[in-house]
Amino acid sequence: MYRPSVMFGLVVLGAVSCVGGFEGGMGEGEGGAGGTGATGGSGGSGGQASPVECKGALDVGLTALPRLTPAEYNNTVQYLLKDTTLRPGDSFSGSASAVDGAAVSKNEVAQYVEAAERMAAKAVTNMAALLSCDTATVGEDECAKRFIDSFGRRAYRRALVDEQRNGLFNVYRVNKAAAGFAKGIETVVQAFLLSPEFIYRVEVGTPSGTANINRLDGYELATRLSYLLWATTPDDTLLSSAAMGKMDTVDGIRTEVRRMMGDTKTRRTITAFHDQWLLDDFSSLTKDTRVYATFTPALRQAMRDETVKFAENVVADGDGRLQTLFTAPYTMVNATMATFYGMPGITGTAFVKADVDPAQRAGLLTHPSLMSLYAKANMSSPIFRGKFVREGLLCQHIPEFGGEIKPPDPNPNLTTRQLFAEHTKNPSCAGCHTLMDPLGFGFENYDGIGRYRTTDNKKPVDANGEVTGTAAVDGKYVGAVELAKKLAASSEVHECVANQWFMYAFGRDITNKYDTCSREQVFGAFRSANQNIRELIAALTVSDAFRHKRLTLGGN
Amino acid sequence: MLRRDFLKGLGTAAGAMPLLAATSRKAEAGLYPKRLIFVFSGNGTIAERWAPTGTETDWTPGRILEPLLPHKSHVNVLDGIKNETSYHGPGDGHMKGIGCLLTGTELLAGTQFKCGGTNPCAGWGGGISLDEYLANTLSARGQLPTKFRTLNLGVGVGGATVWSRMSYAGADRPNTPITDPAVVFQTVFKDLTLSRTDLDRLRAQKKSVLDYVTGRIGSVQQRVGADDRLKLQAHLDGIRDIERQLATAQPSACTAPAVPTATTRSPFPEQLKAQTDLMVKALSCDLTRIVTLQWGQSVSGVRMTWIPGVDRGHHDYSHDGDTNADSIEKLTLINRWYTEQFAYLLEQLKLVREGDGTMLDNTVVVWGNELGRGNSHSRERIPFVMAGSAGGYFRTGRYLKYAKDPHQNLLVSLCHAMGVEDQAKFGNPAYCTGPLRGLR
Repeated sequence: MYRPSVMFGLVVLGAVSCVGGFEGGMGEGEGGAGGTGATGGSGGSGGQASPVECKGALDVGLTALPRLTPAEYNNTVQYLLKDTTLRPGDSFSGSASAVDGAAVSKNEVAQYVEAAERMAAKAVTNMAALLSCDTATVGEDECAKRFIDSFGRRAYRRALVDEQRNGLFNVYRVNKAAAGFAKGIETVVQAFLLSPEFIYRVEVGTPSGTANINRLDGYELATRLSYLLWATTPDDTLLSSAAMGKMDTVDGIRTEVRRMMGDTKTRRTITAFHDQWLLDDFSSLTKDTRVYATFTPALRQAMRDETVKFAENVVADGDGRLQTLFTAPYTMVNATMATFYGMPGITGTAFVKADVDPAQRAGLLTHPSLMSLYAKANMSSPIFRGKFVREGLLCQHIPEFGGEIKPPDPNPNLTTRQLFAEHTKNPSCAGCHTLMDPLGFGFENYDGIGRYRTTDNKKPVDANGEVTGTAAVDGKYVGAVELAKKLAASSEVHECVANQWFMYAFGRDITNKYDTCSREQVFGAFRSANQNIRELIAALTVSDAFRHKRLTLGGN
Repeated sequence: MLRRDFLKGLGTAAGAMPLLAATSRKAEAGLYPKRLIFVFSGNGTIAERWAPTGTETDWTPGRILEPLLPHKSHVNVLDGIKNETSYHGPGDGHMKGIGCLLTGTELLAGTQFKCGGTNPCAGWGGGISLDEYLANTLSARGQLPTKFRTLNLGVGVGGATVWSRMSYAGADRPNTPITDPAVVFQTVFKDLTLSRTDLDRLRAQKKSVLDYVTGRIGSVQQRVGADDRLKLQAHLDGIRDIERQLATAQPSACTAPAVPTATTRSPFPEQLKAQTDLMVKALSCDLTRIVTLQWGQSVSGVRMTWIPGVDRGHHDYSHDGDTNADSIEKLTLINRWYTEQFAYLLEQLKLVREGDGTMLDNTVVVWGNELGRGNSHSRERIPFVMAGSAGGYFRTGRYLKYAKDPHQNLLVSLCHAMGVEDQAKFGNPAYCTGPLRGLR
């Protein structure tokens, strides 16, 4: 049901009090503070800005020993073993993101062992594909040695050291003696797949000159790049670049990033990010079928795909701008979604670009996926939608109501908006609900599965809303299309999106003080590039946080 | 239900049960080990349809518990137990309800989970859970000779979140339940299908690989920071667990069950039955004595469409108001269905003969929930049901009323029943007053 929502509601910008509105609480966030966030050396729209220079001592946050996520694990073993049918990670109960930080449990270790044994047994059934040498020519032991070196460089994402090489050859030797050459190779593959250097992203680095912070070496950076941009292990080109010292400079990193972002594997990252940021838990969403009979698993899947395909279209294929993501007068549809929207002439399962009525829809925010997720099972929910905007798009914080909530059931004589009018009448509700409801009322043109509507329970929809608590876009608005435009122009939203990417990239929440400068580096670059998300992603990779590893929080 | 159809397969375990040395307890349990099974289902119940009527010894179960009637003399219904810990520390009601259930310890603060604005937000559980604690303690005393110190099983349990984890190896160390019946088979029973020679060869092979892996963990640990080292230590613990299993003798008189046909994509009831059957088999073979079994998780969204009229997710229903008669009825049916599964489990335990009695007599089964009621998230009346006497330790057949006694007291009593008799409190001592009254 719930998965960790790394992207949502974690960010506290100032202390928002439920009582008496939010004056005094807002505006204290880092975005408005300036700090060291000057965009020095910015090249403007070219996106070749040097990282913002941080004043003061080097500082970065801590993410302890990231473990491959199930998706990363799948991608990695498919590449290593040249077998795209391998998906053992699907049955792992690990987190979709490395952010949870939980240590591995004994059953997960057992799962790794089981998966490694199964994959290794399968791999040696096609020895020719696995080995790069011919045992008849070079001899079994020599071939095993070469295999250990070549497979090992990919599996460990760097050249092996003797300790590893000798240990692995010993595994081979012992098992070959007991059960033959193939078993020797099979157990070596198991040993690789069970090594900490494979399951985790081991980062050691070299002293940076600042206590407790090491500078990553080229291989470690290559690994970070590859898992961030491609959700898989570095390819040989990237490893070679690391070996040649090309990752040691910002320019070298940029060159690799440019190459990598031209690869379709980057779409994995765009998809995974938007899934986690916007559609947490969407795959288990159910509706009251008496009210929303059309909300089938197939429609749900199509809605989710629409959103990630749209994000891919904007970020990978389009102009990359956040404003486009929020306000585009088009979306991506297949036959299922075309039917949903009432668009004629679109057939098949492939998603194609299609214009929407710009008076009714704008970018991501009015997507049926989001409108369904942030709704109740049997009606829309201005509260969930307002909360989503406040927390997910503005990165502000809404305190939890400590009492017992008894939500109203639908009333055939009232619109949804009327049903929730109590919130603003009752002062004990209003404190918090003024943070949510006025932001959410503008979405009332979309029912609980995102269908556009002008009436609700036979009464006209009132989509008047109000933005509050922002620096520059406060004010009344009508409908989600106008709201989307307001939000797209908000520097708080820009910073929030930058921070969401930051959390995605580093697997840690952004309220920690250690990452302040790195976040400013990333946000500064995003701002200089006119909110181009491709440049935002590139900026992540040259930030201090990306190029360094904090060893411990102790001593700070 | 077609329950009777699959009784046959399990009966074999009874005759095959080896006589075991009384290693775990010198007491009257005698030749048979004591076992603990902790079962979880989520989203609370409808107390007025759950609670029995009548007196302690002369009672009639509510509609939800009616399927327990055939087992009434083996059952205790505990009404009025409060999960006091879950009213402290960070986290929402579901998180704390499941995360404190077996730990009796507040959740840690953390940032990794959506927390609805509670401040601070919750991280993982804050302490060791009962199952792990008993395994550690009994192992240290040389009283847990089983191949698997514990088994953590689940059905329809979601990804790694504080909402979905009940068992903890320690603070910040959630245990992942095995949800795939095929993996349970592979892990627990596969060795039983091999010849002695093949098994020895396989063990030597595994050992050679794991020796290398433990060497690598040690080597990496020397080069990384303290936080990384801790995570590697957890990994090493998992490897050591497997090594210990490799070194433990197989129960010679036990045969592997059939390979389960259910997968994680099978209908929920099929998965649940498969996991239950495998669990009972593992216990009857004395491959383990301590088990947690999660039917779903907190906030379980399972759509139990096999129940007539049920079409929404369990959690959706659980949030409807008290005046919504339809939802109250659906929740009654949902919870009654879980009771049927609990009754099925008891039946299976009863089918394994142990001396003059059955395995149920030497077992204590506890069924808990993260909430008392779904729509209010109240945790003041957790619907605990116990079955089996743990070798005569508990007096059963009773309806016991409590006045918000802390659930940690029950955890203390379970320690005592399992042979850790010197346990004064469990979890945070601030919310525990000693063993739960009235159970003996």
